[in-house]
Amino acid sequence: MKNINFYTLRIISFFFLLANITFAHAQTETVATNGNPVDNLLRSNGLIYVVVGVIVIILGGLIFYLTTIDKKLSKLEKEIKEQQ
Amino acid sequence: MLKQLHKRWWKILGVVMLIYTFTVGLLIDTPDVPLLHETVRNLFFHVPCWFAMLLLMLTSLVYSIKYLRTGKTIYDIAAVSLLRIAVVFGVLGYLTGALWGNYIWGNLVSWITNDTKILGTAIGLLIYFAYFILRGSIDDEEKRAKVAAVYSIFAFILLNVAINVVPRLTDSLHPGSGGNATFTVYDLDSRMRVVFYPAVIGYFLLGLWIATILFRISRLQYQKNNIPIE
Repeated sequence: MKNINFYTLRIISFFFLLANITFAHAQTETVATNGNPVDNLLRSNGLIYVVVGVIVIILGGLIFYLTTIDKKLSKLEKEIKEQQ
Repeated sequence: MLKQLHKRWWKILGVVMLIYTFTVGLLIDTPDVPLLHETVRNLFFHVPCWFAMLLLMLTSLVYSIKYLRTGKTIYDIAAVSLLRIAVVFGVLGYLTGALWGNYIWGNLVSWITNDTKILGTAIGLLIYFAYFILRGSIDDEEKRAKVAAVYSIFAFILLNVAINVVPRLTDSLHPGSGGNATFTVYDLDSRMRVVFYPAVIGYFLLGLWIATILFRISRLQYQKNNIPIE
């Protein structure tokens, strides 16, 4: 049980981190108008790059989650193998 | 799949392909197809669902045949794990298709029950739902695996007839049916292929990854119940 809580906490904090990054971008967009090249790129073509960023974050989060499941399962398999 | 179960390279390849699809697929210049406009990009996201489903089902079929040849339960577990995720891809393809079609072909109600290809996919998916019901109804492991393996061979053929053969003989709104050409409409300059094929590979490898996780869970359950799988 303790193990599961640890993983859930880690994943939730990871998503909070991602949300912070996107939120920070959203804020700079309303304030700054020029200068930062990353900002200019995100602004071009009708802000399409922002959508791309959101999708990549979602995809990354899901893949990250899948990786943790994979690792957890490997650990469980190892434990059972040692028991036998 | 079984030999590469714990390898990492194909998982990374799949993730790279997916990230490529979801970035380049949104940013690339697409041919301006009348009526479709920007939704032509759905070729990168909706169509690979079906391709991945078919590829996963084909892999599952290979394992079903392997099971029938050898009688090793491990092949049966592989076959059913692959089908589980294949059906999920099918449902996702159906839902995304419904959304896309709602804006391209008009009101959902007017075509979703009339289009041959959509009816075919609905029938095909129901055939595969029946596969899981069939499995659930047999308690004896060996009998269940045998019946399911034979059923899945028929199911795969029926699904392909429903999706790929009948719509070509009659008519459908989908490309590749009746008088419509499959890819020539989109692929005037092959720009779409650059993203489309990596998308198919990415979706397929993602499905394969999830299937291996499902496979390992069922294998543990079999081991817990002391059922020999090799």
